[in-house]
Amino acid sequence: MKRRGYIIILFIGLLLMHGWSVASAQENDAVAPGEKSTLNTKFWGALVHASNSTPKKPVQKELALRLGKAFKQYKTFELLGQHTQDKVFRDYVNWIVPSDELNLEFESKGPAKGGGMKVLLKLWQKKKVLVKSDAVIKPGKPLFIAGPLWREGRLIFVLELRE
Amino acid sequence: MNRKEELITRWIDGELNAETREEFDQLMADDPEFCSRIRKEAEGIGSKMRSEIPADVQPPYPDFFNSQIQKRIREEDRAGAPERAAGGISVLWWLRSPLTWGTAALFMILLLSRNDDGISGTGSYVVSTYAPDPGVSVERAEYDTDAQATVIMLTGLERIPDEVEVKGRDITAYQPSGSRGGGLFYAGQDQLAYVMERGIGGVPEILAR
Amino acid sequence: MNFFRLIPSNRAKEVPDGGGAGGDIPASQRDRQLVELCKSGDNQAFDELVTLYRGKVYAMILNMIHNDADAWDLSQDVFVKAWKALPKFEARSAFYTWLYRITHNVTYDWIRKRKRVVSGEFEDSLMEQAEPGALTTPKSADLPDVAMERTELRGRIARAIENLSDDHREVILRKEIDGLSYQEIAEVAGCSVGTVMSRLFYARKKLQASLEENRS
Repeated sequence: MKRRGYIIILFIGLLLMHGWSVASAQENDAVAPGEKSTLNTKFWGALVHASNSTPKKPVQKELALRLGKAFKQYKTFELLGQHTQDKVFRDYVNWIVPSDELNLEFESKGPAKGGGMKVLLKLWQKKKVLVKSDAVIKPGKPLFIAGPLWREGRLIFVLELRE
Repeated sequence: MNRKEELITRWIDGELNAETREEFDQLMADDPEFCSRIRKEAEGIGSKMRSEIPADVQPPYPDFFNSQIQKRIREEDRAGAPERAAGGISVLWWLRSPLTWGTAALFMILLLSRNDDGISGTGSYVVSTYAPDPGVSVERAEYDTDAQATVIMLTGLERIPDEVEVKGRDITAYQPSGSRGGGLFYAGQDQLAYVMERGIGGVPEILAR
Repeated sequence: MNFFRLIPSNRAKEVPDGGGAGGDIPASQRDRQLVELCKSGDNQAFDELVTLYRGKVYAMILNMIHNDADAWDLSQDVFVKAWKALPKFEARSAFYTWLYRITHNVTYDWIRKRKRVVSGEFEDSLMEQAEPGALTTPKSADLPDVAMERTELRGRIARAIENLSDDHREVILRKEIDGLSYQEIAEVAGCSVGTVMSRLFYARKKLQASLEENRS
């Protein structure tokens, strides 16, 4: 009887975890092609230098706070460049703060179910793709993509969706 | 399309059968020049097509291509699993047990007490990542609850030398160019900051600033 | 940890190619064996089928729509749909014909939906002009989906093929590039053999006229 009870508990636990993972997975489901894009979508992107020296042009406070929490080894964050991209259409290739050394390419793939936008990201260092990523970006919840080390710190791309 | 055209087309494509072969032989006997000309033209077109159009093109990042499919299949299987459950078995006997409800309640308490801003909640999230360079790894690709941001962290990256100047501009306008992903970047009042183009393999190139 | 490299995708090298002396199994038999394994839930067998056919599927779609990123996505859709439909595959036709039929359906669905989007709401929004100094907006009315990456690189015949209708283009590509028989093309395109012949004849006629026009 006891053994049967344990089996029941284990079974229920697995069943509930399964249901939970299915629900999570379904949030990633693509919306049907042709569904209307969010035409008021605005992306803000920046290239930031994270270090422990005094920045010439620091990022704004709230962003600095978040960056500090994500990258605890750095205390200061300098804004090297920024770019606001209005009305990002599906499958439209965009670039955040291009430079000879480092480039972040992103392409909106349309709205995601559950809110936000699906994006395809590619981080380039010179002629090499460092990483390719599918992500869903939601308003007020930025993506931080940490790049290579440079001058006692690290280069970080920030990508944010603004409504 | 008339019968003559059909016969010639079949002949060009090696699709004549016994019946149509006989008919075609007659046609060929009546007008050999016409048949040969049409065939020559068709073969010329086929040859040109094959010289310009590939029959087989590996998709970019083929390993990633496969892994993405596997990932989607796993998700589809998870979503569809209840439909494939074997019939004829009573699986409801456990519902009557108080242990069942006790476990479910405990699980819900644990579930609701989590900070769910990540994958299944309100935060941005990473669906998948792929680092083509074997020396580069994705150390982290997850939602950071403290920072309320999603962090992608890579290891194995080549350091940028200190003497290299890395600087950007404050871009206020962007005009895409004809080629995919190229464009003109403007800072301030229509001041051209960068011209970007795509080289071979889609490599971004800053042409001017 | 780059966990996406855990799934090997080069096992096609271990699977014998079709035909040849030395005991290699024919492609049709190899496909049948892999399909049977897939039906029993063998994901690795399916991964091998993907590796074997991804180049063909991607090329077929790319040759129809000329858009790398969409061709990539649609190719993925083809294989996922194939996986889901495999239990119903009865081997009455060759596996590749069945797969190409799915490819046809996925491509045409995309083309149809694309035509609706292009003719609908996107056009108005793209006509908006940015004010000087405004936040970044595209400056010119340029449909992002229309710009074809390969336009300048394609030859004359490839450009001429683009001027054919989707149906004519598909048939001539299946015949001349993929080497399918009339019956196979009919199965893939979902039409009769007579229609295949008619479209082929017309496509060749149009291409010939196009080439002659360019020469003169």
